[in-house]
Amino acid sequence: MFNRVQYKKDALATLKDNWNIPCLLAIVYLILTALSTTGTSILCACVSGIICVGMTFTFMKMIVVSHALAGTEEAAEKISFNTFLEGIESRWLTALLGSLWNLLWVSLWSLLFVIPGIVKAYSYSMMFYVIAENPKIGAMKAMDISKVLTQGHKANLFMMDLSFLGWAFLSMLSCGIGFIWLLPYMVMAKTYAYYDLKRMAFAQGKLTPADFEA
Amino acid sequence: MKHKKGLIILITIAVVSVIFGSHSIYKKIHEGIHFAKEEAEVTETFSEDFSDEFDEEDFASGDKFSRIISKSLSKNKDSSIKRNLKKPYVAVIYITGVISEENKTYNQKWLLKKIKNAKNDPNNRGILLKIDSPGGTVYESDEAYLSLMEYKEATKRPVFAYFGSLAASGGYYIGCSADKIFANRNTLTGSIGVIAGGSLDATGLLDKIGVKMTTITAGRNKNMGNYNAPLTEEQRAIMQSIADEAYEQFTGIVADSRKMSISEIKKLADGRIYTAAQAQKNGLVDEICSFENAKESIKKSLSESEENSKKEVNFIEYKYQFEENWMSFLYGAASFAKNPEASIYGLLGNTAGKCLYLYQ
Repeated sequence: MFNRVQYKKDALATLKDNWNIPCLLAIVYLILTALSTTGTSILCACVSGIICVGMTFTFMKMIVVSHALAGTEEAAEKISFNTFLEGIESRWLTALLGSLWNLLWVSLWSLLFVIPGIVKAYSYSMMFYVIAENPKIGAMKAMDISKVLTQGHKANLFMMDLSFLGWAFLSMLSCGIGFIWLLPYMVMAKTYAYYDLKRMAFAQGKLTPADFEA
Repeated sequence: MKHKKGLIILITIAVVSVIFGSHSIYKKIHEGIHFAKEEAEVTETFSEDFSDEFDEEDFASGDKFSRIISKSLSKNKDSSIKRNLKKPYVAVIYITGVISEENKTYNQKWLLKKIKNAKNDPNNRGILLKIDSPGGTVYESDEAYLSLMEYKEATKRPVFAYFGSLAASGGYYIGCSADKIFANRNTLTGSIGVIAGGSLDATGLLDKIGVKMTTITAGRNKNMGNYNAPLTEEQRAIMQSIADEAYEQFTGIVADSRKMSISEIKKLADGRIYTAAQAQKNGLVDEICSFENAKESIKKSLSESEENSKKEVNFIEYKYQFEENWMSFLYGAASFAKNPEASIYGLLGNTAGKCLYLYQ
């Protein structure tokens, strides 16, 4: 079952004592999206897509490290800004195409008034996590997988976003400085949600590991 | 550094967004100043003209939001034209499409407004009507005619008419307010006559398919013209009297305008249409020429009067533009779904049950 409280707890546990890099990434994200928002929305979507993929890649590494047994090779890996750069380096083109593809479909669905656009935005929201996890996957395939993953869970994802609303208001009161901490928290919780959705899809037989291969 | 390529990509993204961001911020600031300047200029030069340009009633049908939008739009559109208003000018008013209260090509309120504006403007030297209309309702045609006559009387300025491809019936009626009528050589005009209404008697069909429909009325002629009752002789006479009266009015006006006797006009006014050459021969039209030549000759005749000898008269065109945005498109679709009949006749406007000066 979709358990947002658990994801949030896990996210906080992973982030505990590891706030430095996530906050740095959040600052990069916030500055670049704020700058590109004043330009065209296409540019903004591309920039936020690429950085989001890099950030998710880093967070996935963090999760792996935090869950690895002590003494193994994985546990010894150091998470640094280099991890983020590595994520961007290997996935920037897919992320770029993915964000354009995402923007196109969400805006097409938005033509039927706002609600279908929001529903579809949630339906496609997992594609960046798919791209972050699988370097060789294509943008269109990532979107298809995202659609399958979110089947029956779009409302849950929406509720999870709503549950951050209080923190978002607090962050706004602090002139947006609070987002530096809120953003990693949200993305980390969603990454946990992604892992769980994937697990559920495998369990129900909707997807197989072969689907994630290019 | 291990991941140089990643760093390069990140820096590229950063540079692109910085460039775009700063560029658009710069543009917004620049535009803001530019706008403020323009606004000041316009209001300074034409403060007197804007006062009655946008009355509340003009946009009463739209909601507040679309009123604001259309106001700002028309301000932008008109601003280039407004610059010339200091010079003497002739207002070229386009009368296009079926004359009715409001449809996609014609708007009665808009027309009356433009005539009123011309009347109140000291720089106005006359009106040139560019008519391309098959006519329309009696009421609106007469209202436009009367307001043009009032304009002539109040200002002592001339009104001219130029007939486009069709200036029949109600179009000709409005054209009668002109001191001089020009026509294109391919104009179809005339059709002086009246349609008072029609009768569709479907009683035979209803009997055949076994439908019995009754309208309960009080008053012998209340069900007149309804499809479930035949037209009686009395009812025919009633409708005929209405048509006759409107016909008398039409011929009277044409006789006044063309300086001919009513009996002469009645000979011409059997409802037929005339080509431009026939109309000129019969005295319904003064001159056959192109629109440009008509303008030239108006210019000449106006500059002959001593007042305008120094300054060149120019022409300012006013065309009614039906404002269709995506919201009105949606409303249109919605009203079509509710009442398809009304939208099919949308081109005619709401002419049902009205007396018509219309060439069909």
